[in-house]
Amino acid sequence: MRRLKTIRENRKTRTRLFIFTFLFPAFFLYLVFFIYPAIDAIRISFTDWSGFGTSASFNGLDNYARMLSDEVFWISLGNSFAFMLGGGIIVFALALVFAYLITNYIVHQKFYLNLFYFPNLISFAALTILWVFIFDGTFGVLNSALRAVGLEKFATAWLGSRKTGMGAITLVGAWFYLGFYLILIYSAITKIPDSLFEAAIMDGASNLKIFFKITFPLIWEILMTAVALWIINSLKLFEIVWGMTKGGPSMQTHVMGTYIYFNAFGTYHAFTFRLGYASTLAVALVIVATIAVTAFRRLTARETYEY
Amino acid sequence: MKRAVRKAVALLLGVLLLASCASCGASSGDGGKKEITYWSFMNEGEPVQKWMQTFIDDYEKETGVKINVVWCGRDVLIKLQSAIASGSSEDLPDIVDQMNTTVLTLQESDGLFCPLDELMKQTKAYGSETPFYDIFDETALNAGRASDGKLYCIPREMYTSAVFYNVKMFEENGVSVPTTWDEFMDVCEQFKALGIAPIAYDGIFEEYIPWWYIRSCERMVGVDTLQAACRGEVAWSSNSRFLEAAQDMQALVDNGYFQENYEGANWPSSQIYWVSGGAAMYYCGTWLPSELAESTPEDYVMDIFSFPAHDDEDAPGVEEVWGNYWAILKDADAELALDFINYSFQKKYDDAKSDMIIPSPLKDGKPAAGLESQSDILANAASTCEIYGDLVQYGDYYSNIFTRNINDLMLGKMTAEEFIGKMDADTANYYK
Repeated sequence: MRRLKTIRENRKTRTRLFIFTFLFPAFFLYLVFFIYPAIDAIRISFTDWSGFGTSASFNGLDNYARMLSDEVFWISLGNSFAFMLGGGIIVFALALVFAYLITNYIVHQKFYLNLFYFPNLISFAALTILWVFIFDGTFGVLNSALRAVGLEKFATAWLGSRKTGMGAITLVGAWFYLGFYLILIYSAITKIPDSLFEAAIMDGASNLKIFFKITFPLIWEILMTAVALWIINSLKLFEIVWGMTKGGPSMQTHVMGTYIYFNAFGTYHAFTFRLGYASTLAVALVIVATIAVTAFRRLTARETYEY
Repeated sequence: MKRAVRKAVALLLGVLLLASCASCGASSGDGGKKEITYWSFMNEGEPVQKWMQTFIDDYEKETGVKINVVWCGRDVLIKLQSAIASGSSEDLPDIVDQMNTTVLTLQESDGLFCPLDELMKQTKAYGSETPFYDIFDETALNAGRASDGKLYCIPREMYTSAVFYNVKMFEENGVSVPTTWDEFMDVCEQFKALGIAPIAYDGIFEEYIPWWYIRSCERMVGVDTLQAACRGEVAWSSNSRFLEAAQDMQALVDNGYFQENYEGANWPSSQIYWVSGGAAMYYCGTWLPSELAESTPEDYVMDIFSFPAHDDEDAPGVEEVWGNYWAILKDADAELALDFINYSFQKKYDDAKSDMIIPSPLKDGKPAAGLESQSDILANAASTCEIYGDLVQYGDYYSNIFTRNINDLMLGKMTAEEFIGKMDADTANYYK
């Protein structure tokens, strides 16, 4: 009996060792490339480290105090939230509408999904150059088009102010990310058993009624996960803003991602090199993102429908 | 059987891990062969990169030294920062190149580079008995010196800033090239009356936004006072000429001398607008003809004139001189690195560079076509300073306070008086 127990225990230990052997490489890489830098960023956020050399003086809460009185930090945070809300409304409203149309009325569904996903295949650099030339105040295609159709009074310096600049960035962001979220929602819809739709049709329900009474509640979980993903991704926004405005004019279109980069490095002709302060902003961004996602998940938590 | 498979898998994983670790630490060298690692400011495919590749290939062939070149692009020093932060000296380059002001800013703050005066004096220029040091234009060379007076970087080109103008447009409309600020304003008025935008200006391109005001201050107040104001040692309101320079900028905005919707113009749209005949003038560095080479119509004639001075200024005034400079890192084999840099200054390579309309920093360098006026401008200068009055050395202040407030002034969001008041308040707050 005792021998049997020992054999079982040995087998258990070997199994654990076997599991550990497989997990170790991934865990090791995660530890080195994510956990360690993340913890180190917190340490750096309390220093004045430039990013060069090894000398970094501990400066207590100075960086955090500076951040709270930094006007551009609040502008960046405001812009990040504006993008999150404005872009989120556009992305999810359009994604739901297009998902509804594609699943109900379109024959070549894959073609349209690929079409919407197409912007994701273009590099951000090329994409932003394209949009800068559309929105540019002097040479912009948009202004030329407005003038061509007699609407010159609406031609303006689109990227020349916070309001219109962030509006343009939000539209470009929504255009870019729409395809990804559309595919998520479309996939969720196609997972719903046909029998539920057939029963509803038998009962004489319209497409719209089916969408709101069956489709929408059944994709709720995935939809909310997609929104949480959007919250995180939108708060990390960088490439579109850096490519289109670099946070200008007068720092009015910075978002958290670009402002962190700007403080860490600056621009190639005028370096700032304040990795300490940039880490402080990054820590703040992690806290803000965590609070936003947690609050969202709590607010939208509800009973899961099984099907 | 199962146990054997498990053991084999575990062994394989272990071997893979070890192999990956071993490859991380492997040397890229092969025995005694000499190597130079060069991180470049250029991107692959740019005309200057292609030009550089020619002498890199020739140097490797001629000397047997291997050049490990990485085309990092404009963020080369940011990549250097990351490499230094990673703590591995093996990953560091021997040579980098960047604008002299940024190289020197890094030298001042972190002392990364090797002093070069003595080494350059001891080294003969390739194929000549002249010391390598002596082949350079003194002004260009001096722009590579840090505040300790030592030379830390070597000029690859020699730019200045100037007002570019459309020669045909001036001639066809009977407009004379201005030499003073009042004449310049008259010229602007004439073009405005003709329905032509006098000046193309980038409203959201941070690099060019403050340039007009900086040049005005360099001329009216002097570089030292301008820098002292940026360090918070002199109040912006303490010298009335800061205000006068701001009033000049306000006049450009209020009189509508910039192209329509310039507030939302991002590089390179304004310069293309200018070279397409939309505007009469564009203020920029003398890299512009090279940068616009592919966009410039064949029959387009451009020329430059010096930033116009007020009648009561000391004339001739200060002119900006800068370029992209080579720098050798402290831990590098400086002699070998310098030998490679020296090689690139042979006449055939330098002439080929001038043919790309890039002004040479050499005393007997071939003049770049269309930029002949640069020599006159610099020959007439009372003194020289670095680009943007070398204010980029105050990186954080320069971007967050200085450029930001000038941006508001140039967008017409504040008056000259409000600008000076804001500069005083923000500067005091910054250095508090």
